[in-house]
Amino acid sequence: MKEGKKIDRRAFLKTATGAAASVVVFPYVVLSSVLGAEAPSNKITLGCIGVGSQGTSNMNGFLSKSDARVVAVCDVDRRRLAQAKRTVDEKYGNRDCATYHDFRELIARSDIDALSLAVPDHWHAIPVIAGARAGKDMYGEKPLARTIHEGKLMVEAVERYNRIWQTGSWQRSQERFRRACELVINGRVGKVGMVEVGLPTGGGSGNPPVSPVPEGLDWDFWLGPAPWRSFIRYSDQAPHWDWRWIMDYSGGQLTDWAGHHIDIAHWGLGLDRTGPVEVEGKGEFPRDGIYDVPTAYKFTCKYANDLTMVVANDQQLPHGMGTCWYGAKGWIHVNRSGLWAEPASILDEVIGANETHLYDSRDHTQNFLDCVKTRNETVTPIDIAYRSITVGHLGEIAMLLGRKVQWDPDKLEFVSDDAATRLMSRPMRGPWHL
Amino acid sequence: MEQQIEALKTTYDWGQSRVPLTELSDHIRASFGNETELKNIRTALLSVLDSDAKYAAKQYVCRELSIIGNDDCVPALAKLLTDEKLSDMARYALERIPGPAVDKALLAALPRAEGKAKIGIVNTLGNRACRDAVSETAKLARSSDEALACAAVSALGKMGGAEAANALAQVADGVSEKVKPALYDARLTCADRMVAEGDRAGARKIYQSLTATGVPQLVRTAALRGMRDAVSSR
Repeated sequence: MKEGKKIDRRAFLKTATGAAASVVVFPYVVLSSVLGAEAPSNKITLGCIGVGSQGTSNMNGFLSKSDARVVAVCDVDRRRLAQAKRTVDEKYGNRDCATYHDFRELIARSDIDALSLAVPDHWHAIPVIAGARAGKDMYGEKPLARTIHEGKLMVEAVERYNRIWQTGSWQRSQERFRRACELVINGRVGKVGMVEVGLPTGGGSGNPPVSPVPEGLDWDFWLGPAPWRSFIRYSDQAPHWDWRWIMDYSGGQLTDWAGHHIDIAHWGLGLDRTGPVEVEGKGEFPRDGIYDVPTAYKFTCKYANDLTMVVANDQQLPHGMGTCWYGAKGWIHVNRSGLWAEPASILDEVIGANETHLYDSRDHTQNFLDCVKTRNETVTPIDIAYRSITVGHLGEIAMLLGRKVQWDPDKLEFVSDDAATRLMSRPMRGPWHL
Repeated sequence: MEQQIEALKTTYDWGQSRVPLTELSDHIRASFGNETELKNIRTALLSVLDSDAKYAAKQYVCRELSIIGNDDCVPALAKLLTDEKLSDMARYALERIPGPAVDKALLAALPRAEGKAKIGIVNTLGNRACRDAVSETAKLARSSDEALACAAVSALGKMGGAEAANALAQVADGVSEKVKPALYDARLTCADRMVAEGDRAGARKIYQSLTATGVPQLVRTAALRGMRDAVSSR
């Protein structure tokens, strides 16, 4: 490429992919100058699928970026869809934002480079795999998948089509969490024998009656691959947000937060691409009411290197929420409120130039956009997110079965365990499939 | 257990207390490893499927049978495969039950099923990588119903093997634009499976055909990566 020659970013990406077809090597970096100025054609065009609370938050993140342009929004709830369009159009001062009820139509648009995905957990896998097949780069919410098997197929699809993926595990783009992990990975607490991961405690509910489906909501589409059921108004905003407490759609606080604090635990331990070999624990599942995910839970994961990870709701751990690594020389605890250590002097330690320096991202959204341009790996690539949520899924399965399970983190399968193996995937309601 | 089974048969529905279900699930969990009791439980659960129990109760039964079900449960579940309302939940149970009895039941139901139920059966045959179903599935890959055709080509990819590879190659020119992304992906999946099973020559043939002019660049690149990985995995 001649210096100073400007090319359209989309054309560049196509050319880059073409070059890759010849040598299967991908470009390392693109000078920011090739992006040109503010011309829409030189921005990364985005479609936002799922524009509820988290989806809107992520969409606003992209709207604030000068190198991104949101061109389409999609939701199965017309009320949310209309609100999202208003937000985008107000930002750009026009009425151009397209709206879609069916994510497949949005994904089929060849002028959309990337997707922002924030749908309920039971819906995570299908649009990601469709998006990968269509050549979209993706920013997708955690937890990566609802089941171990879905996660595996999502990783395969994103890797097969060489897509850029960022997981919404944004703690990796926060200085405090990176600092904690760098201290741990560089041995400032000595060899770590145990790590505690504290996640939120859940709550129960009653047995609300069957209700009419809210105006504007496509309930059948919202259910998608999950087993059919009548609509029940389990909260004022149902089905939104509180789907997290129903096992068909989520694993509750456990899986919702696994992509944060378990993810951080792995990062500090340098165990991003492996997993435990044995998991055992107990959960308290509500005995009545529509909510059925564990409200209190505690399980122990043994890793191959004499490491034990204890994952529990915060009320059952001495440090509460967050990640706490215990080593021979002390401990480090981090969460969204602070960073602590014993001895406290650990926090003054400097990480030397020849020591391990972890991926330094200061802005999760920008990191994704930058990687779309450079084709570099993001701070939270999909295979790492898969390992983080798999710990949550293994804990969920062990608690559901009420016994210990053995896991092979290399083969990604249970060891001689028929019942646990059956729980690795969920048959989908027709016509949906992966 | 009798009391809970009776509640399932006669009263349980959405919006009602699920305490009887929780109690029954506790009993099932406590019976893991006790084959005699599990057999009793299966018999009791199957009796709910054969009763006038409401959909919500039968759905619960299918969920539990997906974990503890075995060949004994297949005939009763198979009967539901062509039932428009219960087909999905019958598959929910059957898809997780290992063994050829399920494959046979799914194949037997396939010609009789319609609409989403038929697509669901194709999906389950694919997820089970049932190679006995390649021939029947291949016929559906040419369907004018694009959702069914998509399901069929995806299933063929998951089934894998030389016969599925040939079937996918044969339909390659005849599918609609909407089905093509699923077809390309199925062919890549099929090739990846062949590599894993040691048939590198067969896989290479597929990868090579996907690098031809006219195939989308995204797929061509994926095929080249597949070829590279096949070589490096020797």
